[in-house]
Amino acid sequence: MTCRHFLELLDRMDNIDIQEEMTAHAAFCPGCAAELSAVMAGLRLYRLPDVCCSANLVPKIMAMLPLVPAPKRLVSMRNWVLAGLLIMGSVVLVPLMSDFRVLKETFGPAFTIPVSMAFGLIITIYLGIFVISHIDEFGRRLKAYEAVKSGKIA
Amino acid sequence: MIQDDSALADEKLVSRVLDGDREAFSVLIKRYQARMLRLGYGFYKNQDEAEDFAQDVFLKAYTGLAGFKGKSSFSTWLTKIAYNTGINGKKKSGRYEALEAEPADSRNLGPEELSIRKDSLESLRKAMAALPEKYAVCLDLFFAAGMKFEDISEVTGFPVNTIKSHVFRAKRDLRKALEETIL
Ligand SMILES: [Zn+2]
Repeated sequence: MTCRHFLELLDRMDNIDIQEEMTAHAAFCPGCAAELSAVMAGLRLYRLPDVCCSANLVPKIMAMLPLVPAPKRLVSMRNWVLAGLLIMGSVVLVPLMSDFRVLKETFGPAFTIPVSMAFGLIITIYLGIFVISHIDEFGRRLKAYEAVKSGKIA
Repeated sequence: MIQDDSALADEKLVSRVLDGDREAFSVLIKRYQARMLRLGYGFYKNQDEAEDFAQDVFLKAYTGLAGFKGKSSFSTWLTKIAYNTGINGKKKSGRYEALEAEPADSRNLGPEELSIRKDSLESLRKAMAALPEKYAVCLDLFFAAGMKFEDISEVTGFPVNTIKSHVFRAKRDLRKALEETIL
């Protein structure tokens, strides 16, 4: 590597560890080694935190957190739909399984009634969670819809 | 048992905050307050407004935390909020400039180190002044925040090559400026 190539690489370098070929060149070229350490020192010193760094910023912000809406995990609509399809698919496919038919013929209503109730419960829980987690959004959409409607009437 | 959150990765802390652990957010504030204050100072040029800026950015990040999907690192995501807040800030004081302040631990620095810092600052301020403001911020994200080209591009939306070429020129000038000091 020539000194010119070294300096070119130094100027183009990203904020990552220095390349091996550069270290190798700097090891036996005092001029380039000095340039390298000058730039590194300049950057290190430039990056030092400044006196303006406030000591009370953290408590100030922490005191405000209870006053703003807390972040909530969002499950994407795609995942909701996938989960719904999975539940529906099982409700449709499970009764078609041969084991299910054998059990149904052997036990009759003593088997089908609890199984239907279990399916019903799963679907209810899924819909319940969906409604609870989207209630704010439904409210917002309803308000937006009403605003549009009243705007049209007026 | 009290667990030490300060060693946890950003993503783990975000996950805790989303689970309702508000305290975990304080670790993230401590970790990134210096960067946010520095950007705030660059946009507003005074400490009070830099603090208001940092506070605004952290509160925006908190309320919108569920929108952090982990596609980029948390620091890039947070810096993006700061960049947009700063660039679109209505009442900012003139254009973005590098902070001209004493380092917090200046007592531990020798005269030569202080002079290197001063020269670096002067050289980079000059480089920033020569560019449109949007690119001046890119330079500070590279030189002060130590961000990588890709991350700066993610934050600002500018092509990597544009950022690279601005950084290249600024770094060459910085090296020349330091050559005179050190060599
Ligand atoms: Zn050389």
